[in-house]
Amino acid sequence: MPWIKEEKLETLKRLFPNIKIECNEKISSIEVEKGQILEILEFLKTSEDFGFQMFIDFTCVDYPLHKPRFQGVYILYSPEFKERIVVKTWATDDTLPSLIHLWKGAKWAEREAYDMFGVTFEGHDNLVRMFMWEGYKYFPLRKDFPKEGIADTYLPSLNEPENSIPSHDYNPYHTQLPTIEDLENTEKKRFEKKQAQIVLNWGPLHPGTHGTIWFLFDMEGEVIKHCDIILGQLHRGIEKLSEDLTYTQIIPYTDRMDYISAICSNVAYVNAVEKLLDIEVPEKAKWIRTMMCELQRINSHLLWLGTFALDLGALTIFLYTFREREKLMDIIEGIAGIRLNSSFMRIGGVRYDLPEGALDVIKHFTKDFPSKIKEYETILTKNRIWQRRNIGVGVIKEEDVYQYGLTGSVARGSGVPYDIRMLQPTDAYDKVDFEIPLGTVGDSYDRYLVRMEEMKQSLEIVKQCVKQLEKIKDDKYLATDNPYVLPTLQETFISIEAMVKDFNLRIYGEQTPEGEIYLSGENPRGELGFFIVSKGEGKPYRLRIRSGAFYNLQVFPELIEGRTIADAVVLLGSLDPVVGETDR
Amino acid sequence: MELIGVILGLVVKSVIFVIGMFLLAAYLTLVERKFAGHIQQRPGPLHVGFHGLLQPIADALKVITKEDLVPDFVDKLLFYMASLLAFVPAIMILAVIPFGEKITLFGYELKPYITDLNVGLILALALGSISIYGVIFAGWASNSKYPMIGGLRKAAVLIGYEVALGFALVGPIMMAGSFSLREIVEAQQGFFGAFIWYQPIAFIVFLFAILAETGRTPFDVQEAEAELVSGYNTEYSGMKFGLFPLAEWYIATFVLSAIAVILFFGGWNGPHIFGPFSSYIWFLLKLGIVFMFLLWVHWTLPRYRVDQITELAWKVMLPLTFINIFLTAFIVVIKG
Amino acid sequence: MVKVRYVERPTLSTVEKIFFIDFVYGLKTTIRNFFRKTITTIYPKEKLVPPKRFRGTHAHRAKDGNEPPSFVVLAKFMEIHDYESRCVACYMCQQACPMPTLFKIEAEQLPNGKKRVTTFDMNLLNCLYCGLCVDACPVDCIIMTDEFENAGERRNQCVIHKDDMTERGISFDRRRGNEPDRIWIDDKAREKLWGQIEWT
Repeated sequence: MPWIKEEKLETLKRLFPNIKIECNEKISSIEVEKGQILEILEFLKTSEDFGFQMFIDFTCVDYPLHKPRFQGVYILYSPEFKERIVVKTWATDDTLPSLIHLWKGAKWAEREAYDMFGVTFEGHDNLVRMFMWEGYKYFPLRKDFPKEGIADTYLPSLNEPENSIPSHDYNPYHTQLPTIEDLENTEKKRFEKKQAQIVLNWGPLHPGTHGTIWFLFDMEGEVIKHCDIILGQLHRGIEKLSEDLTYTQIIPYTDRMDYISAICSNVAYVNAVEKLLDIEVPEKAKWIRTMMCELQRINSHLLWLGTFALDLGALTIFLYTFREREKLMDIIEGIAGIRLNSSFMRIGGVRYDLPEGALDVIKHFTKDFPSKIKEYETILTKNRIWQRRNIGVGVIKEEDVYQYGLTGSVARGSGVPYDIRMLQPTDAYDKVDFEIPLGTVGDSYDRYLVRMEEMKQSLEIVKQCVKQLEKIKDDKYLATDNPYVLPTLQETFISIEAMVKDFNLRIYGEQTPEGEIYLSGENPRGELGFFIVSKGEGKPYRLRIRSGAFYNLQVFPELIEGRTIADAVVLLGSLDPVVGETDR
Repeated sequence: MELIGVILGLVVKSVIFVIGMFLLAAYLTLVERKFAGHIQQRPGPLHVGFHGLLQPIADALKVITKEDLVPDFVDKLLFYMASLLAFVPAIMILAVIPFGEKITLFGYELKPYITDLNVGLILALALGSISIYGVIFAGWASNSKYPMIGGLRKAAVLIGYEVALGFALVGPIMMAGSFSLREIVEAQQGFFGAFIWYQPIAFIVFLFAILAETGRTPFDVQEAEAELVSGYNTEYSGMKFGLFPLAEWYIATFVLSAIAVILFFGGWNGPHIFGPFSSYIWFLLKLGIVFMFLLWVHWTLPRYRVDQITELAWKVMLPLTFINIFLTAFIVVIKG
Repeated sequence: MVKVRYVERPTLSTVEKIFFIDFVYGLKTTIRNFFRKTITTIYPKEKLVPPKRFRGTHAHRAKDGNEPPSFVVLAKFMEIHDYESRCVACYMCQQACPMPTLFKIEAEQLPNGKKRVTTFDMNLLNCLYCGLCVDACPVDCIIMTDEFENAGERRNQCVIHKDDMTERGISFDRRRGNEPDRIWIDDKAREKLWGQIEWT
């Protein structure tokens, strides 16, 4: 996605002389004084010349030595001009004005910033913890919070005899866990008082929630009057962990965010780092990445379709989609080595070249798959029950998309052509032909249709990639000439220079230039963005992950009000969050 | 002495029926699992016995020997009663269902039914309605939110479809001129004598009603696992839990399929090509087809929302049955 | 070229509604699958062979004469006998690991001035199976094998040591060392799911 042009920023500076402009090819940002932030953001949103209507992300960065300590970073997108802007401001007295009146999507982002940094927001309607429980004493993403956590809770293993040392790194002391009272307090903080008849705890472990999301439904009969979501059951603090890892070591962690589309997450992350390091990826690696991404997208959408249908009672579709998914898993396993958390990407290329026979198998799959999609569609698309359950449920308007920062199929289902593959093509996406399906109404049925069509389009991309990859068989798959790219094993075995480079990069990490970058990829669940602040070290100073599922889930409480639990299942299925990514 | 003989005969027959039904229901689980498996391109139970033939026995043993947990907060009396209330009426319907013609073996006359009441059909309907209480009691007695919602959902569905079911039956009854199931069968002679040709609307309504009554897929809202974990039987365990699906999914489906065969497919009527047991074989064949069809629907369709189900019952099914009754009455009167 | 297109929303016609055509097509699809062959692998009885690239339990390659040149250089400082682990205690695997504490590598200095690896433990309970250690090993020692059934009842059963890793490595090389780098090798077993694939 192109960043806002310098000329435009200059015009902005003429209107607001106090702002500081920073513009380069990686990021375009303005720095604003705290007092002016609301005014400028509102201007950016409403002005016709700028039109930054869509909220992408908000986060904080901690600079312990700077005064004031925390910097707030807003990322906005202009659907009209198709450009982005980053707005920064310093949080004097650790407070910032809340944006919930400008963008509803800021609500959770601000809560997350409060949870992780302790920055408070004036005017926020319910500033409670986002991932941690009420009563948790620390703010984990602050730089003074130790990276390994504070192991102060004695939690011995249940099946090991006492005083035994089962392994060299076994430690019965763990970081703090919430108690039952803590969880009750957390629940109480969300609902001030009972508004209707019963409060149903839907989750955290419930077959309908696709993971560990904890929904609170305040219900009258079966109608949900009020809803809140408690996240954090899968919060592992990947953003914090990354601050202690070299850029290569973070790759396996990106697998574990959206574990259903690991390769897409890998690619999004690796692209961001490559852009930060100015690494040019070999042609072949680009095509392999694109192909694997699209295979993973089909895989992910198949899982979505299966579980969505399962939630709606069509049990057989679940097994049918898993049949095809199994084939994709076989392909990914054969190419990358592991079915789910493949860690296939490397900075500067891919881990391995394609193995023998991989293209044959993929070609077979592309030939076979359209008939299977047809099968799903005959059972579902025109089925009257399917239509009655889906049509009119959870209508998301275009305005909501901008307000909440919805991305991915959810945005496209509402007719917003927001696809990172089109707006900011990375890898080989600028060289392939495909269509972006858009919905017209924005209900659950549209999102279903859009995702079905996306699978077909992904298949087309895979076909083009296969054709291309058959031509460029002997190209390099890893840009090992670049000083920041780890050498392949074969190179390490024969050359001492490669071995030294390998040792250096493993120990000290890729010494990135000082700077910032925000780059995103089109994940099956929406825009997965990586905002990296580098201080010229081998490790990121701050790695912010903008998760599509997190923002998509945020619209749920508003849409479900006045509908029944049965619709909650449909709505959640059509929003398709993955808890690994929402919680990170 | 004669009375004792009759009573003894009835008792023996009932015991055979009940035990037979238990075994049958157990094996119907296998049928369903195999059928569902193959529809989903997997083999289903495979390891216990030849192609899983002993699987129902293993399942029964497992369910019986499982620890039977009764949560502290439940209403004990109703909690225990609920599973029986669901199960017993379902099996009692069997008393009025004839499985074939009378045959004479070794000088004894064997009647393949326990009793032939002249209000057989009404009794079947009445007993069917009682089993609703099982579900509602289970939902209430569990004293927990998911069972409560599940139980009430089921009650809403059943009330709607009981009415539609009752009215759907009126058509065939009017054509046969009797409530006795045996006489209804006898009224349908020949291939084109089957009432399905004259009562297609009633049949469709009846089919939907069976699916709704037995909680099969388009209407399985009471235990929609994605929404309600397991619905009204969430708090149950062991055999108390086992009785619910057994009663609902298998015995009730079986019995209602049998009634469907009797009312619409001419019961045991059919060419005498299988010798003396011809009528039984025809009956079971037709029953099997209807039962499999229900399974087939179950494993294909998604499910309705509960308000859509009741809407369908009251706004579509009920008017349809009225139209059907009116048309049937018209034809019956004209034909004399 | 990327194009944008609105999807069509199909609706049911009245005829389709009255005759349940939508249900009929659905039922037809499911029954067609009923008569197809089953595709499942009956797991403990039949097992698919994982591809050669599979990242299963870790192993150590032994000193068996096929060492890369880098090993020859580094082994001058090491006391490694034949058919022992190639590990030269360079700690690169630990360095590359996102979870370094799972390694416990110890080496001792022998009187003849050479080094000898005494301990190489990995606690697989903490392992991400990302394969970064394999990429980091400069002497082609640590590898990941095709063994995946490594569940244990106790934590210490999930800790692997130098000796059993070497054994596993030798067995892996014996079984699959000469295999080509192919997407999978058990074509027959995979045909159940995949059908006939045209190999070039």
